[in-house]
Amino acid sequence: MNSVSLLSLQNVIKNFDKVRALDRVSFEVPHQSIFGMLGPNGAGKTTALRIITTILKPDAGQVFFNGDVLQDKHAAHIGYMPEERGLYKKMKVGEHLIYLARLKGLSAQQAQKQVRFWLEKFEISDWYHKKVQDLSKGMSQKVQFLATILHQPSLIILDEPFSGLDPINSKLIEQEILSLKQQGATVLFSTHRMEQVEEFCEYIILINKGRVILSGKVSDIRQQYKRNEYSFHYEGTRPDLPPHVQIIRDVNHELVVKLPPTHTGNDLLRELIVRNVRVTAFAELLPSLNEIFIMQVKATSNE
Amino acid sequence: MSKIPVIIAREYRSRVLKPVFIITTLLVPFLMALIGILPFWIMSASKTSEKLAVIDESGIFLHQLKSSDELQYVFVTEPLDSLLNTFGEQGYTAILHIPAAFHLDQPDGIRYISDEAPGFTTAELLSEQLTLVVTRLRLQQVNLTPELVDQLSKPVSFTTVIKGKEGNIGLASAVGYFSGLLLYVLLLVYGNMVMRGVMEEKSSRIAEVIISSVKPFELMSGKIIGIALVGLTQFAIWIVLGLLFFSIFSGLLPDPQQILQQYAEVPDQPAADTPPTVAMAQLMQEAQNLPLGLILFGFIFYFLFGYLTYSSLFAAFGAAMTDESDQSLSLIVTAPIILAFILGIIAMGAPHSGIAVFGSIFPLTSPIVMPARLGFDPPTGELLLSMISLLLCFLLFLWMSAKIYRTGILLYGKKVTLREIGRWVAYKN
Repeated sequence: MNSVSLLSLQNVIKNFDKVRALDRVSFEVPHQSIFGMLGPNGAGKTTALRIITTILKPDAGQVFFNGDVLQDKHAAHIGYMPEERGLYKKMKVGEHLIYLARLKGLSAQQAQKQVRFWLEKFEISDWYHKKVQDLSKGMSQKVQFLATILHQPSLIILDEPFSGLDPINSKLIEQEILSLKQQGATVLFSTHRMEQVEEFCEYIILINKGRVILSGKVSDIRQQYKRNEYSFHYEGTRPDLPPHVQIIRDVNHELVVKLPPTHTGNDLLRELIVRNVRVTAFAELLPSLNEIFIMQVKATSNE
Repeated sequence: MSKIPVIIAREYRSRVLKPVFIITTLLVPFLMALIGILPFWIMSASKTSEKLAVIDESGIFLHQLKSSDELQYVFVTEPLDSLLNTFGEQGYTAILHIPAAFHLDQPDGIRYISDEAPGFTTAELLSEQLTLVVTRLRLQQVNLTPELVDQLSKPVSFTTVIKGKEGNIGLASAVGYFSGLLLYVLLLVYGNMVMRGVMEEKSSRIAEVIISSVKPFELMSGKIIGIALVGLTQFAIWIVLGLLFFSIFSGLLPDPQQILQQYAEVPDQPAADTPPTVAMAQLMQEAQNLPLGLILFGFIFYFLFGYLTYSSLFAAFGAAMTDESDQSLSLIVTAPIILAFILGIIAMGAPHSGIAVFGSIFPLTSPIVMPARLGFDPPTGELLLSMISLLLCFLLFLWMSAKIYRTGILLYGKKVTLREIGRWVAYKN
């Protein structure tokens, strides 16, 4: 069955002892999207991911996978790279990857074939007989990533995938995430590195203290949180501006200004043209996700 | 499709294919034999052979005290005063001084003179032998001939007949001691293997990756079963080695039946002088009268379910522990195994005492205590009760451990208390 969303959480609640880790969490992960889950430490991100990967069961609420109620059998279609991740140190890379693929339901032959294919693709075929304990940190991170995607899951879940990665591996995995998406996979990952989210997430959700405080398309969210701020480059001396224009910054012929809600960017442009200012660049300043994130977390924490 | 076989295969292969497995499998029988025999060997090795210079001023003991391996009597005529300074140089351990005034009716005044106090066994033996001489001489005083005295003081031995079969208490104890000891070692070794395996999965952070593919219960049982198979493989190797060993050496030994027959034709042999081949043959005959089938079945049953019961506990505690240094919790699991071994030793001394019966039915101690009693043919009712309670205990522990394991395996960096572990059992998911 094909539904609009690959994954849908509806009013999911999870308690540990007296602590409510997730409080009526709902969100939708569309097919073939890259979905970022944000939130400070202890917000409930890992708990949510563990519920999606069927490791934990929600106390209340429902989870749907591709329109079906999420069940253990769906684990075969999900690839999960936990935040706390590792490998058996004494095993060889090849047999380790085959083992993990077989646990996802691949036959011995299929697993073998997939492992060879991916090791070749990552140009690390010579690692096949290497023991895990002889790998460097970056190398074992690559192996862990491979283990997550070997069985060609339709949903790939990465908990803090970039934590502890060097820039080269970080870039490699970013590219791989994008190419997996091209091939039809949906990627859901948690992070607290905003610039990455801004770079390639189409959808985000912001969780704090077990509650969803923000969710939706990245572009929509930024529109929603815009503060009517504009920046423009000018030539010559700084132009005189009408009193309702509040100047925020003026560095190297770039002015950053804030307009009252009654005025738009067009109004400002008109004023500049009337004043014969030579404008070389003009842009509306949308808040970065980082700013929105900090703003929202502070707001909910002060409640 | 269940993925447990895949997990079992990994757990099994990763252990059996290691060189250390082959080495330990070959070494353990020797070590066990050593542990089993060592106490007896030490006892016999520490037997001192003492050479005593006997100054018998009374003349009563001359030709009466018989030297043996442990005590050698040399009658000397040298006066006590001069011997006191030189007995060491002459190679004597001590001087046994019997004063001229020594009298059979008043057997006092014998002195053991040495630089060191005699050992307990030496003192006991010496006293025994002196008493024997005095007793015999006094019996002769009342006109009994030495032959008659010999006849009168002939030692009595008895054969044990249990449920219509001739048995040997010493052999039953030996079998019980060995099975108890072996089970004790096996439960500890394999239980710890399970615990270390679980801790490795947790500390290397592979556990969460795996339980996103399979249920924690599948991972736990796959590990427990895989390691059980490692144990059974080890048994199989030992049995094959044992049979091989036996078939080689039994070819060299003459038929026990024949030896016994030949021996029976030789009239009137004192029991103490039985030649070793005959003793061996007797032992083998008596071994056939032991409930061997029951012992073997019991051994495998109690190993399997004792292991399953304990290893699920070991797995649960392994999952609850946060790092390798935090092993105090494992003491909780280890303590009953040690207790069971102690009860097993008590049970061999008194196989039908209340404590032995309790120990062989109580499921935490029965895997060691019951096999130790099996050579003594315990009542069928007790055996059944013991087996059923072990099975029920296993199911209860498996259920509890699965719950503890599921929660513990995902918990990092926090030291847990027993009370918390108890709460995990009540968790829904």
